[in-house]
Amino acid sequence: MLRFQRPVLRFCWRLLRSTDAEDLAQDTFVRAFVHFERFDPERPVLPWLIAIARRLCLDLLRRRKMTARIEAMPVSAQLAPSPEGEASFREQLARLDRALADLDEGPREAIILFHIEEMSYRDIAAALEVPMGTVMTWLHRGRAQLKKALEGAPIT
Amino acid sequence: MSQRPDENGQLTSLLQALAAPEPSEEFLTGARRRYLEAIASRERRAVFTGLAAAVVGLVVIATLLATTVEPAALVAWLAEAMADLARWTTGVAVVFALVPLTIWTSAALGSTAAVLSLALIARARSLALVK
Repeated sequence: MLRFQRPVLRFCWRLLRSTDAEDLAQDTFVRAFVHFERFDPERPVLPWLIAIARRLCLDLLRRRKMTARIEAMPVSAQLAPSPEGEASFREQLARLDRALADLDEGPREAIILFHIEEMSYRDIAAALEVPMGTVMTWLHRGRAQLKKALEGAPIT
Repeated sequence: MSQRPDENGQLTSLLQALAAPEPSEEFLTGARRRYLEAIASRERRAVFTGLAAAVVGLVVIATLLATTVEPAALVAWLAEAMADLARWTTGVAVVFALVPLTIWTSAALGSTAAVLSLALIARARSLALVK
């Protein structure tokens, strides 16, 4: 659980952009433990947890009819460049953050799982319960939209 | 798919630089507490479901009995059975009360001795057959 709490929380937060993310991440683990008999030990754990988390997040979004909000979060310090480049880096990240939140559900989830959580196509397909071809299409479409959003802002 | 790998790498770096909240100190404790609550609630649900099923079963049986058996006949049969049970219980109690305890004790001891002797004889015979 210690190993997976961070990616599950990050995924929930990227979908919800609200403080409910931690609540739903906890709920994900509770459901996973309560229904552990449904887990196939032949398969990896993270896609299974992500699939549960995704269902919970989408349920909440539908129930509240809310869309992902942009919440300002501080930039990760370890990747911040020199002070003079920091402003442009921050601007780039802000654009990317907005563009990611504006993506459609599928491409956004695929981008988060592939680029942030570094999951394989196969695991993403299992987590999102779609064929691998769909994951590739979503990734292609998502990347194109993110790159378009970043145009004008130099990639560091 | 058509993007160059270095472009994807840059995108990955940028996306990973996007900040996201870290799990709070109470994350594990909270999850554990909620898990225990969920298990307790599931057990409660199972108990209530069992009770509800039992009640439904009883109602169904009662309804079937009421429709197939005449209620008055059922009550009469039950009363007769209870009377028989009471008569037998009274009879046994009277026998126990009339016969003194010493007689019961000697009868029990005699029976035990008889059973043991039979067992010993049977064992001795089986040993003799083996030889």
